[in-house]
Order: sequence, then C-alpha cells, then structure tokens
Amino acid sequence: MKSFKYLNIFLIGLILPLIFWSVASFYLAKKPYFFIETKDFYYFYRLNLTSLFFSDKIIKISQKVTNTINNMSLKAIYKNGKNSFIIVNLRGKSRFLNLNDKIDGYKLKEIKKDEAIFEKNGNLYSLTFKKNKTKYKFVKTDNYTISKNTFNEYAHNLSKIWRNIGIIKYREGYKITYIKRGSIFDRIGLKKGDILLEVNGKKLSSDKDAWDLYKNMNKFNYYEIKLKRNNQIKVINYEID
Amino acid sequence: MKKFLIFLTAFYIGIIIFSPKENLYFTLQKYLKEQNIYINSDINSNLFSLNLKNAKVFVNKINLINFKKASFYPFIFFNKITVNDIDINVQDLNIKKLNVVYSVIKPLKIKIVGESNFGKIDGFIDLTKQYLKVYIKNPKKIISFLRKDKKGYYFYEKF
Repeated sequence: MKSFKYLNIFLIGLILPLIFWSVASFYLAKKPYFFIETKDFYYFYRLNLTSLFFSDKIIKISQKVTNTINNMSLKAIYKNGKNSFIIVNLRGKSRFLNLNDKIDGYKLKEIKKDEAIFEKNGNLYSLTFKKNKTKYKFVKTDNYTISKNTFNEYAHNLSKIWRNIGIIKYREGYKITYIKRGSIFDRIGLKKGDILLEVNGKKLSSDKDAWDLYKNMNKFNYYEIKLKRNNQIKVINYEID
Repeated sequence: MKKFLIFLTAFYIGIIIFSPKENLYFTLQKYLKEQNIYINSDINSNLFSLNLKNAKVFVNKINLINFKKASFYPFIFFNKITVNDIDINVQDLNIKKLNVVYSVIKPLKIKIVGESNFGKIDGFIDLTKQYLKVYIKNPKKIISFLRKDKKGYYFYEKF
C-alpha cells in the first residue's frame, strides 16, 4: 500500500501535460504541407522531325480571322466552359462580356485561351491581348562550338564554374557580374554586364529555372542563349561537339 | 519534497509522451512554407520520437536535398535530430550521418556533428550572434566554397 502512496501525484503529473497538449493542439497545424513538383520541358535537340513526315504545304495553316477591333482592347479572359467571360476596355471603360453578349454591334462568339472572337455583319473579328512592344533592338546572332570534353568538365564541376564566372539574379534574368579573363566563358562570347534572359526558349525568371537548366545540362547538344547587352537583345548559339 | 519530485518527473514524462509530435512538425512545416522551404516525406511518430522517411527538401521550388531517414527526439532539456544518408543535389555530395543536438547545458549553441564524403563535419549554430559555423576536416570536393582559419576549413553563414 505504501508504494501506491504517491500514485495519485504521479497520475496528476501525467494528466496535466495531457490537458496542456490537448488545448495546445487546437492552435497547431493539423495537416502536412507538401510541395507539388512540376516538370518543365526544354528543347533538348535541334531536330526538325516534322519535316520528315510533312511537306511545307501541309504545315501552313490558313488564318481565318484576320480582322481586329481597333477601339477595343482585351483586359482579361476567364475560361470555364459556359461560364467563361472576358473583360474588355472600350473607350476607357471596362466591360464584362459573357458568350453571345453584344458590345458596339460586335457579338462575342468564342472565347479562346488568349483570344476572343467577335462577329459583326457576318465577319469575324479577333481581339487579343496587347503585346508589349519591345524597347530593345535585336542584333546579330553569334555561333560557337564547344568541345564535349570542355563542356563536361564544367558541367560536372560547379566550383570550377564559380571560379570563372559570377552570376546574380536580376530583374528579368541573371546578370553576369564577373568573367575570368581567358576562361572558357570569356572565349564563348559572354561579357560582364550581360543579362541572360532565355536558354533554349525557356525564360530564366527564377532560381528554379536556372537550377533545372543546370540539372539538364548533359541532355542538350545545342544551346540558344538569348541575352541583353547594352539594352540590345543578342542571341548566341552553342553547339556541343 | 519527495511528492514534488514525483510530480515533476511525471509531468516531464507526460510532456514528452503526450506531445502531438506530428502536429508540432506540421506547424514547423507551415513556418518553413512561408520561407519557401518544403519537406516532402513519409511521417510517423511514437511515444518518444518523430520519424521522417524518404524526404525531399525543396528550397525556392528547387529539390536541393534528399535524405533517407530523420528522427527528432524532443526531450526538452536535451533535443536531438539524427539524419541519415543526406544527398545534396550538387556535385554528388553525401552526408552519411548528421547529428544536431541542443541541450540546456549550452543553451545558446546548437551542436552539429557528422560524417560526409567531403570531410568530417563539426560545427555549431550560435543563437545569440545568429550564425552557422561548420568546420570540415580534410575537405575534398567543396574546398573552394570554404573559408580558412587556424582551426581549418569552415563553412560560415549568417542568418
């Protein structure tokens, strides 16, 4: 009986934390937070497979809708079957339009991913998002060939890359802050101050884009790098041979 | 006095075994999510520890680290995290075993010890000055990323 003398105290000592954690649990997260991976695709090889099967004549697609509406601009598209709608700007005022709604005599016939098709007097009219006019001027494209051995030497040695080139994240891509004189990067047409915008058609807008590129380096035999130099867009092609 | 000690012991045991370890971990995940860090893994817990298996760590959407197993032992006065087989997705870096220990004996420092294929790891996190300093004995692959002082090569990061 003597050994059970302190059992009550022991049990109280155990129950109190149980109550404490039960209350605290209300304020704790109840579900895990996972990251859903997405796969991005690159152009790995420069092969025109379609030319093997189709002639140029077949590839050409006739454009049915060529008319545009001048005084109206497309602001947004919400595509969800019958509930789809668009927002347009007509003479400074925003208007919501569902399918078959009319505006200024134009009837909304179809909502596409990035285009709205209107009909007026039996003619079709297309309204697309205004493309930002580029303020940069394109300059000529340069071509370089890099030996596979040299390429692999760098691709497998990250510290060797960082010893020869410095790159930081910039607003619209990655800016080259340093290039070692005489290094491979110096010899393949890159310059300090260049802003790398795209590689093989894929924008370098985040660290993930740059990381995916690095991880997939061995899969390319051809690179097309679009960069900005002195406010001009330049394209450099590299062939790994 | 004896009664108080028994109560304290029971309270301490209760705090450990009844702690909602998974919910605490989810709360940590929620905090990490705000820093754009995610840990995808299998989770299970028992009376004394929380275990993660086959984990993938994403930093800014980048799968930077994978590890096979991690165990958290939250004993309040002595807390330990053991991580096995960590693959860092840069240059085939692998940490065989990593132990992170926090105890009340040194409340302002978190000790880090481990073995890797780029050298022996021995370092600490200074909680007051907010920095991480990890010495790598005989570093092989990552020497260009390290600094050097009298004690040897080390990795330093302020946070």
